[in-house]
Amino acid sequence: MVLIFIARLISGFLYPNWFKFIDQLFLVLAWRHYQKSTTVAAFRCDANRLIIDINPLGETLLGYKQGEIRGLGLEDVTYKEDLDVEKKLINDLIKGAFPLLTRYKRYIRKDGKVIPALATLTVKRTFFGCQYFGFIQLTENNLNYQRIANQALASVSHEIRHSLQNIMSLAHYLLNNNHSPSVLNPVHSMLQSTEQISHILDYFYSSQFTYPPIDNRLNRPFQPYFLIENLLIYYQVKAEEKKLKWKTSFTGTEILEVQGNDVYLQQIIHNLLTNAIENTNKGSVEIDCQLIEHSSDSHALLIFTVKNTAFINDAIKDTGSVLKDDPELTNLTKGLGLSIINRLVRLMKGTLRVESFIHGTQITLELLFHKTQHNHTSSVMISKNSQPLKILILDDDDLHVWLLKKMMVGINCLVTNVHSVEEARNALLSNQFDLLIFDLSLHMDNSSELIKELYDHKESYKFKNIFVVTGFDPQSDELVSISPLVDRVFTKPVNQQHFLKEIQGLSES
Amino acid sequence: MFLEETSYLTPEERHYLLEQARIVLNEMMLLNAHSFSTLSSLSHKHIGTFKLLGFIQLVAKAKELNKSYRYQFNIMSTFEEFRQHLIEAKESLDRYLLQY
Repeated sequence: MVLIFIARLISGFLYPNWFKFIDQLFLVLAWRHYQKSTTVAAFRCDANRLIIDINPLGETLLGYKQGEIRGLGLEDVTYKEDLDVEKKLINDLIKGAFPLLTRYKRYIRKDGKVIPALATLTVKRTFFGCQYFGFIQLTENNLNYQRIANQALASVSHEIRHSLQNIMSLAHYLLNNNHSPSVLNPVHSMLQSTEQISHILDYFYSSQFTYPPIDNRLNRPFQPYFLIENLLIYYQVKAEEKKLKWKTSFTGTEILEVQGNDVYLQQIIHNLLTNAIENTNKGSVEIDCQLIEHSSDSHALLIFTVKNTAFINDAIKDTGSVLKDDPELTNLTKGLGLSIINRLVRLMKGTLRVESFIHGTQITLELLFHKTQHNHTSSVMISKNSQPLKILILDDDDLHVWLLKKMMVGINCLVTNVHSVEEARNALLSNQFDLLIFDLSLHMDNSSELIKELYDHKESYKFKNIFVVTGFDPQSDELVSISPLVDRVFTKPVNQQHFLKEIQGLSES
Repeated sequence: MFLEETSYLTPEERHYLLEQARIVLNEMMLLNAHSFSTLSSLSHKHIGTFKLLGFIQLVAKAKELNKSYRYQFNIMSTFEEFRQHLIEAKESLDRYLLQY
């Protein structure tokens, strides 16, 4: 490096034009390395943020050819809000405040699509200024990626805060009830540490994350039965691992849709089941779920009961002798999550009852929801006298399509099967369909964008109803955004009776 | 549950479904940790089939695998757990089809 520097200095004095030449050569050599990359898209810009080069992978990713992108600015390929934040950071990068800058960015393709990516920027200095190089690492070709990542962080933050809260409660209890210096000193230091961690969490997450979203109460349509059923699968596995007997029962309408806060409900059920399984060492865990429709008004009552063969007192004993005599802590019964459950149940204006029997404990949760009002108007007819029902199935899983067709054997219908969003779009532009059955998640694609498009431009497409069939949980982000746009969502495996009942329902409405 | 949920199929059709499920499981067995993205999407796609066949542990692990991939969290351990249940499911299906 020293020799190169001296050579460049001497050649610069002897032949001033060489200075620029060698300078450029230096940059071209540095760029060559990235140009060949087959794993990351790379580009380089001049000091005015104008793009000079892009590698072949970058061309594919952004949709521009080398000649087209040359001369475009970062402003043209970067999401505006992202770039506003980035400009200050780039200046710091040029000043040398830090050598690399890696952040999530949204790039804009030539066709207008937005691509979320992990981008690394670095500066290569020359005698005449500097150029910066960018490397784009695709994180996930999905617009929801950042939101999901934020939710993951929020969940982690929540779990840490939750544990800290319990350590602090215990520390305060010890401070108030124990006067021995050998206990008080370590407890003081424990409290200091927890407060410190709490401040660090605040610093990292600032006010962007609140979980559960106390200040932002969610109220959206969901199907309690499917939400609970999906959670039960996880806990059945855990119960079987502990060799506990597992029994579940359900009374009510499985497909009933209600309006309410599914995030709270999910959190409550999670905590109740975690506690029940963790505190039961032998015996059984029984779950009973009732979803009672009030015919007189538009309400539905959910009664969720968890019965297990563990005693409240045993559970308290397990958490340590210091908790035994404290009435406030005894109210926590078992598990650390019950205080949170209580809070959430109160927020949902529900009730929670804890009963202790000779053979164990029973916790009963009661929540009242508004039933979702469907203002669906359909003109699909499947009676024997009518024309065959024209159905378009968008699904790239042939086995699943085969099952759907078998389910509909008794129905007078004509089924067209397409495997990609593009094929579905073309079919819809040229044919009329009574019913669209879309799988949400395709191998290289996702049909949610097409569903939004169909919803926004109903007049351009010829169809009457949309059903979605998916493996996603009902409360997942993917479904929450799509559910209001479609007539019905089915979670796999589709139950034939429900499926046919819904099709019949379309004909009767 | 399998018989109840597939009451609309004839015994031959049920057998076909099981054979197809075995092909899916075999395909997934060939994927290693480097194909995490494919494995995650494939397992998600077939959650319905796994559930129908009563492989509830595999369903739970498939969901975990999908989440793990999306959050880029605990990838290797989730992969190993998923694979363990995949092997068990495949062996159980093989045994069943052998008797059928």
